Amino acid sequence: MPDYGMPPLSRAEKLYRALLRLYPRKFRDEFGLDLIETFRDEQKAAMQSGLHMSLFWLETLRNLITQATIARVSTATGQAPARNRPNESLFPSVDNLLTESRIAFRALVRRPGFALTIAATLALAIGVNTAAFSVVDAVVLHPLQISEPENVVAAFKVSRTSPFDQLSYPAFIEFQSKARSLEKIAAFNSTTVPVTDANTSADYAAQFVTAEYFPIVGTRAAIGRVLNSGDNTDNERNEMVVLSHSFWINRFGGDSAIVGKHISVANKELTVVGVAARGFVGMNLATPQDMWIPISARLKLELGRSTLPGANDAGSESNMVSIIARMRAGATIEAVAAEMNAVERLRRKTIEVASAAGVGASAATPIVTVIPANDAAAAVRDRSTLIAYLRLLCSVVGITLLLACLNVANLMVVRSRERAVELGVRAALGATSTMLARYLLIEALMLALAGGFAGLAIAAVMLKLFASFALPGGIVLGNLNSALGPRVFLFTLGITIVSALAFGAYPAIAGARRTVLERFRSGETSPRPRLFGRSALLAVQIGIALTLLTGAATFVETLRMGLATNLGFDSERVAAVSIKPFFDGSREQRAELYANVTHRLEQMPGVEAAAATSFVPLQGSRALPFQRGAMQSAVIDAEVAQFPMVSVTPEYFRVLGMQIVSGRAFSSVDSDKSTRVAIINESTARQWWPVESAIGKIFTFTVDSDVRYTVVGVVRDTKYATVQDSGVMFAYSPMSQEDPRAQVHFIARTANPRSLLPALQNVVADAAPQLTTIRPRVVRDQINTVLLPQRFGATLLSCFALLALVLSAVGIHGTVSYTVARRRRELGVRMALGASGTSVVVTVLRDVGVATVCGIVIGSALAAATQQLLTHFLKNVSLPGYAPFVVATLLLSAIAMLASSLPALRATRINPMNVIRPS
Amino acid sequence: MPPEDFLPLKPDTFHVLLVLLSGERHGYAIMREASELSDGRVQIPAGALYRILARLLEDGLVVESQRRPDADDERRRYYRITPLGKRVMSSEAERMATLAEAARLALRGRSPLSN
Repeated sequence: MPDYGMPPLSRAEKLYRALLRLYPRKFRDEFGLDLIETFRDEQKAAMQSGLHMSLFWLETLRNLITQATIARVSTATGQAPARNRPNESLFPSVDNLLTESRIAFRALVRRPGFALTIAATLALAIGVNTAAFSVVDAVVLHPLQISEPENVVAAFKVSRTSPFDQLSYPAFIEFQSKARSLEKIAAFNSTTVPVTDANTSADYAAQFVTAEYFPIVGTRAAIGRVLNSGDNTDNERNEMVVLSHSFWINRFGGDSAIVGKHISVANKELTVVGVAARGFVGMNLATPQDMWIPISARLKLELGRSTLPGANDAGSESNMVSIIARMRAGATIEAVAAEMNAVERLRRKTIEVASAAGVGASAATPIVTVIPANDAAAAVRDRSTLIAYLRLLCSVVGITLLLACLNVANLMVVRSRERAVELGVRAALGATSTMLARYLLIEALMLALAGGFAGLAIAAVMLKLFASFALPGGIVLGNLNSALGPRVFLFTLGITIVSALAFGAYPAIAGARRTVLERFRSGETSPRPRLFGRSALLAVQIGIALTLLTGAATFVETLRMGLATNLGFDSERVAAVSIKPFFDGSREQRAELYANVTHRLEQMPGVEAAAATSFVPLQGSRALPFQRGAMQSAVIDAEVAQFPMVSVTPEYFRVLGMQIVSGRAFSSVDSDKSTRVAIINESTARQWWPVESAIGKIFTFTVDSDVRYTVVGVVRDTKYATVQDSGVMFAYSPMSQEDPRAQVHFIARTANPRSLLPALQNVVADAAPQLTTIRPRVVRDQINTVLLPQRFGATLLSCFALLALVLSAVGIHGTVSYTVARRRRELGVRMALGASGTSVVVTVLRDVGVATVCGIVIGSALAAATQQLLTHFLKNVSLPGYAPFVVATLLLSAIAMLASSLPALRATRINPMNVIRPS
Repeated sequence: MPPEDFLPLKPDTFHVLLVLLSGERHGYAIMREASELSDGRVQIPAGALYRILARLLEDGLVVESQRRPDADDERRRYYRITPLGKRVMSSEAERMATLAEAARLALRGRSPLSN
């Protein structure tokens, strides 16, 4: 190749140079450098014209594949390239396309097994990719069914424990009047409400919204109307409700005359004014809403203690609301954040809450978080875990597609020997090289399209199957708008075409290598069959299979280790049920209720002990700031710590089998009139009082110096949130002194907790008929939630690793069968000359052996890279090292042996006489 | 080979030669000018261009130029139309003109054969 002193190549140019290998060698040698030069010019021109680089590459690739295929085919057939022939394009007119499609279709129908195998392989791979994409689309790309979501933001309060806490209603009022960068702003609050009719009463999710909620969301009504700004101002006529589409369908059978009817919500008759557009479920995917009610009507419902405006404490900071806003045209999210922070800072200064809360003392620290509503829609508090999940999912399905394409390419190449004769005949009859290339690509495209359509169906079925599966952040797949809409359809079409090119282009080019004459010859005449391409495909396939297997084995191992972890408490024998406390009554009434339920539980046969608590291990709990000693003493860092403090009744430790190492458990002497006491775990004791005994020591709630605890006992550490917990600080207070605000759980210890669950539920329902019982469960089962990442990974990767194994086995089997068929005569001669069966087998297996070894090398490199991904995914989990890799390698080698042994044995049974005799 | 043997020229080939009639060009310049001359109707992908050039070189309608008009462009290859190439273009232009005239006449309602 003449060298003109070309300057160093950029990365893009190197990639392009590598892609030039698609052209025939002669052409490449002649024009390779010119093509790179031209590419450089084109790239420069594209950049100047502002063309997006992905579009530029798409166009370049399209041209490259088209032109290379034409060049290959014309070189191979010895035909003059492009002079006076019409239709010199791979993209023919409609008429030709129909004719050629018909020909390709007939050719495929003639080989139904082959066509079906390929279409099924592709369908599976395209199906899982489509399903994965529709989930990603519904969770991350287009989570909200609202108009112009890019201009809608969500705002949160930065609290000590999270940057995503709710803001107060007074803050909302302030934003509404002062924030200039916002066009509209709305607040809302969600709860569950009982909806009652003649026969049934059930709880549904309701959202209480301010006037601008629907104008911001921009959702239209399916029937009737949505709420508008007028609905909140008029206190006489605000008893109305908008239903969600699915609630309307499921509860009211899609009654078209629903508008104007009354439904009973929390003992109040509300008028249905309309049904929201299909798919709109509110602003959070984890909590799809069933209805929307004007916020001013909330007080009229019997919801117990109201924490909303209109109540006596309307101006109180404890009125927590979610806030969304639509930005004014031209405003950036940074500007909005800056303004909202400034407004809130000023307001806090005015009411002097800033100092008490101790947050945002410095003007540089944000006190309000503003993020796009799209990002707030899914797992806002733990987005990185969600993204890690989705990334793993996408990687795995992407690899599967790659694997499927490799396998199909392999099959196509194996078949191309038969095709050689067919193509030769066509060429001899006058088909131009372009027509042949086009024909091959059309065939590939038809197979891919068949796979694509079947894939859509498979995706739909899979989404149904996994409907109850939940992503991190509590997003239930079945609640997502993951219907196969136009975006998903386009995606599927895209990957279908890409995979058609991926598996079709190589065989088309490889198949076109031979000259017309050679095509007519029997394949056996070439002394040494060209196996390199196929072996390389096989090696890559084995490498990928090994990667998936290693990943699967890693997850299974971490899952096993997780399940085997000593949790530090007795989870097997404890049954639990939860309630959401209602605050209609006094604190004493609640305490009495809890005592009543606990007492009844203890009376049940077989129950050894029962307790009420705000916390059952292996669930989330919020850390609060505490400091050692009384507040007056000067604070040094070592004395301040954040850890959860949960409230429990005296029997709690006995129910869970947790050992009190020193001091005492809580008892009836600890009442709301006696000294505030606490039990701390060993880690807390070690951290704060490493030398002396912790009993009798004091610590203080940093936020309120009056809240001071005396340590009365030290309890053994357990696992609290994850199975990896170690050295986590934790504290317990007696329920008689601390009234739980969120959920209250009743736990009971018994020999057979599962059979106790219905009775447990009945007792609670009986004692407190106004409360709904939530999640009756055996505590041990909570470990499943905790180990969800491991379980998810283990299930997902195991399925795909199995698929990869099957595909590899098919590939290996096909390749060895092909080798044997191709070398029949040679093997026959060898055997006639006295070669042993063993040596024949060795001859046959050599290629596969080499491919397997190469595959294992590729696989180890990929597996090492995958560890990186896994480390990110399984935060804090110690990975099991090399064992999974070794297991995977052994397994894969065994499969390779097994898949090749059948055809290899067939080779030893070749009758020399049959093959040597001239045909 | 007489120039008529190469006729009719394919549109892409015609445009490549058309560009080269006005002087020596390197590959990318040919692509760009062909596009400009045709108001963007003719877009020759790089791979196709070089296949056309290979054919034209083989047929002797085009040769590689030794001259480098621009010092910066030393590494680029330039192409020049040969006398044979010019004759082919001339014949093609004539052929097209005849056809165009015939078409015009026919459009005006006169038989092109009666002329």
